[in-house]
Amino acid sequence: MSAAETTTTTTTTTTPTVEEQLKDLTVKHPLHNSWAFWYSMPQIKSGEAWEDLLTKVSEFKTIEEFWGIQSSIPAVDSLRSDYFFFKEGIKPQWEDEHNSKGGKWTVNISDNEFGQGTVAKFWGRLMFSIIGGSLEYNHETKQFEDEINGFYISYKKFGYKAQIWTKSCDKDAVMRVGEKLKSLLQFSEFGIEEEINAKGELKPTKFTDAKFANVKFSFISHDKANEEKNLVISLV
Amino acid sequence: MSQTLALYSYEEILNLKSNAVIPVGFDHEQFNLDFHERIELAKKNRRRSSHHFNSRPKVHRPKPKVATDNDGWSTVVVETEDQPADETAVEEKISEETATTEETTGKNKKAKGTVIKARPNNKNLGSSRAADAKDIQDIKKKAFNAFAALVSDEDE
Repeated sequence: MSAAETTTTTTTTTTPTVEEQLKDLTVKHPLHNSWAFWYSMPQIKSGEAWEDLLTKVSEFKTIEEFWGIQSSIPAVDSLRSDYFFFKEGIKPQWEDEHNSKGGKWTVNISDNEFGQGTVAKFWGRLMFSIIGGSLEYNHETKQFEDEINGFYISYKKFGYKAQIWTKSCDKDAVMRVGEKLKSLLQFSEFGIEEEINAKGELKPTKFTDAKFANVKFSFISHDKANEEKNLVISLV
Repeated sequence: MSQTLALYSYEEILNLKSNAVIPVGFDHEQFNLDFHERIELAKKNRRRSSHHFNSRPKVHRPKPKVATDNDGWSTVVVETEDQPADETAVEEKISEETATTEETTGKNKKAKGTVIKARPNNKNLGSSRAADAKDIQDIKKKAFNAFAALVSDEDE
């Protein structure tokens, strides 16, 4: 076999065809919902209104686009304001008609209290769970519950505050979200910074959830004026 | 067309990390630029912490200069920096009958180079030195004028 023939044969077997390349480019992994990434800038002057600092940065509807945003923005550790992810068409304001009848789960977390890297891990798992759909998917009914409107993380003096906003104050629906949120922290041994091994599996860790046993998760409705709807739940 | 379930595990999401695609219209370079610039500005304009709320800033106040003469008069000079130099805090009024120094009040009090003349009260002094006889003797305020007495209205 001549050298030229060898080269031709090798090229044919290793290089994908143009059709295959086009197919790869178009195959993306669609999300159950379209999302928007919002960012609020840190306040510089005392007179600056929060609404003016809030910016809708980009929309995305696939896993690939999610990673495109996530890989190009500063890590949550360097955040000094807020990152928001809300479903398309919903503003991260409680006055929004989609939010006004709902409430929010809140959890405070800091690296100082739980160890270096905990915030990034928790935030990573929170994004994966909600955007990937696992936090809203009901395996019994085999349907998405669509109870979550959005979620965000805020920088605070003590550390970070994460919130999940729900569309209603239905106790059963809200509790299902809260229990899953709690499990995210208790099993946040891996997150956005973690790598998977050659077999496509997450690296095993020696993480212990004992230190998160007493973390308080609280839910409160946005509608503070109506006491009947003012649901307050704490998970310990 | 089959409906795909858009449910992704952590492993599936992490596996797609290398396929990242920047969404159309997202200027990530500008976002990062604004992000860091805003944080720097916020740091510069950061409020002072409450730790400083109850403390006063240090201001250098020169100690007053006190000079005491042989008669026991003390002159206190308080130097201030924010007043014109030609104003004085004390006006000395020397009458023909008694030589007294009076402090004036009001606008002159805040003058630069404040001069206060004061004579200490002997009863408040702890000195064991005997009092000067000149200080305690009775001095007639008005001497008797014999010639004036001779000139009487009754004689006229």
